[in-house]
Amino acid sequence: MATVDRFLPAYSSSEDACPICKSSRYLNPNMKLLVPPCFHKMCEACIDRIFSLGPAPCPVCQQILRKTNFWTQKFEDLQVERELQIRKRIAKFFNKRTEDFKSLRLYNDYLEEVEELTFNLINGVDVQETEERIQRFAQENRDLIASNAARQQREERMLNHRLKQERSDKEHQRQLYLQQLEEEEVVKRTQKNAIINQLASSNQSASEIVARNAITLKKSSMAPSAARATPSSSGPTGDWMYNGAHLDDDEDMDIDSEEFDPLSSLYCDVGGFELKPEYYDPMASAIQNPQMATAGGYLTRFSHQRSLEAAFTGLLIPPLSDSIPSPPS
Amino acid sequence: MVALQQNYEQSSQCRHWRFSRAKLHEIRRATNQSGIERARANIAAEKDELHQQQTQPAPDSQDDTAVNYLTLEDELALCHFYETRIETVSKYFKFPNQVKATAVVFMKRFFLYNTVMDYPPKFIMLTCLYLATKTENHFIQIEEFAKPSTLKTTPKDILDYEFIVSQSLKFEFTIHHPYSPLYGFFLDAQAVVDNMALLTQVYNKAMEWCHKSLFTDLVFLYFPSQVALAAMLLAAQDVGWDFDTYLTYKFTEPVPRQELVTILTDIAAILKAYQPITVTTVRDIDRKLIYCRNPEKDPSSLLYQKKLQQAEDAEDQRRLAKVPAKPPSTESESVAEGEGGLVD
Repeated sequence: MATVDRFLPAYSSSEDACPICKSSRYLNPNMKLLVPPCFHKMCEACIDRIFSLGPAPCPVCQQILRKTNFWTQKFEDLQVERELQIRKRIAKFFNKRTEDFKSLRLYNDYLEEVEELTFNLINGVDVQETEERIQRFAQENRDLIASNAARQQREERMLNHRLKQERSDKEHQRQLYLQQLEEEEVVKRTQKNAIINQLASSNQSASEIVARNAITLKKSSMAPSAARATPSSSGPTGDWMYNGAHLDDDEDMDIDSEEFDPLSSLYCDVGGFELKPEYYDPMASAIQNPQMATAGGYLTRFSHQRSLEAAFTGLLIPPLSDSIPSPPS
Repeated sequence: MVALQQNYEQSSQCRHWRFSRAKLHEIRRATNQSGIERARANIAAEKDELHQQQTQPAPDSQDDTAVNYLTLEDELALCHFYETRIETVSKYFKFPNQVKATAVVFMKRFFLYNTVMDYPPKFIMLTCLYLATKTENHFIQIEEFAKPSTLKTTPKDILDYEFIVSQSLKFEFTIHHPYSPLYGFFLDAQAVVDNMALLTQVYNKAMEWCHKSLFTDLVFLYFPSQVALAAMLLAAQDVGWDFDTYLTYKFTEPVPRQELVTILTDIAAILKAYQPITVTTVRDIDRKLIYCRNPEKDPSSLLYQKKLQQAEDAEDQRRLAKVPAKPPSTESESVAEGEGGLVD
């Protein structure tokens, strides 16, 4: 749920219109439609107007609403929005994890039950009874729920922290790069000035000075790039490794390696012939430029071997016959 | 541990395109049968269509009994004729043997599961040849290939069928021909033959037999190496070279040699029995084909145009259904429903 909140942009369309004040997106492009618990959405201006003095009834269904309970719409379909809210609420209570169960079977049963409760609430089946069941569960498992909630919060904080870290690392790298560029610029400029000074003051020939300096210029432009490579690579990865230590990515790799069977595509060598070093070979001698052909490592032996292998492949395998028996010779 | 196979036995040609004679015949018969049924149904539909347009009562008297459908032999003869046409076309474009042979095998594979009553063999032949130029690394541009002046086709004719053909080939384009094994035997036989002029003569003769083998069913029945060796056997008979010397030198044990000789004589019999088809027979079959073509696949037929129209309509419908992204009623409905089972 949290991830949906974080990454999904708010829903908006060009045909939006506030049902209360009838102002439309066309007239008011910055209009923000928010959704209350009773799902009668309205624009921010209306919310300010109606609810600024505290709780007030919804203009459509008269349910008492508060300004703080409005949220931004994420999905076009309000049914989906409603389901999301219900799931959020259920997840608040039913936050047990696999580790809390003795077997996977029990965990699956639990998930099944949760799904059933959710379904009941979404589709309005036995709402009263379902609510009671939820309350009972919350009462019975109060401690576990609290501890799991705390754990979840911790993990989320960790994730946030890591995201922030990554962002700052990237920013840091960019800064370093910009700095590098600036430094290079400065060095270039000073060197250029030095050459001009030298040309003005010394009595060596001009071409000699330019040639000598061209070499030093080249050297200096290479030096900083080498220096840059080392610090930036070591810094962020180290941090990231420590934070991500509990993420075991290796599990996925194990699964992959199981599916690959290196023995499935083995084949045996073709026998029955002997590759001789020399053949009378009109095709190979027809090659126009043997030097060009052999430059890439080509040897006529390879083509001989290929042809011979092709010749002796399956030579003795009889043709398929299912109903008609082959006549005896 | 399974017994290891040779590399060729894992190729698609060996796994998917190798049949027994009975199986091969069975597949062809089934294809022909279903092709006739399809054509019959569609010809009837075409007639209905025609009568509807002309608003005449349908004269049921001379219905499909009058149509003379192609038999399996007719189909094979027609395919065979167009396979030989590949040679003419590739001579014009100066394609190497490899391209030509691949095109022939493509065409054979295509008409194993399709019938000439559905697809005109002329265009399929050209499409196979075009595909073969690509698979054998002898690429030619489609504008160059399908010039109306030379082949009386347009690029569209060929490109339209390209995917259909590829699909029928199950996208298995690699073909193993007897040419490479033949060269292998040419090299290997040098162990027993000193007279290179004679051996070259045998090789050239065997090459011709290999060409002939393309137009038979050998590609579906035997390994390319066996076909090549049988071609060598026939060539040896033609030129007067003692083939048995080589065979006994290679296979000293009598048992495998005898088995091999059986296989080779079978192949040689097929090769010798091969007869090129005459143009007059083909002309007769072609005339027959005009009346029993499946109108569903014929662009000039009414049924085809009707189908095209239907497809276009469906496309339009689909596009129209997409345009009004959300009718205004859905929103108010969902809100009204939301009032029911509310969450705090």
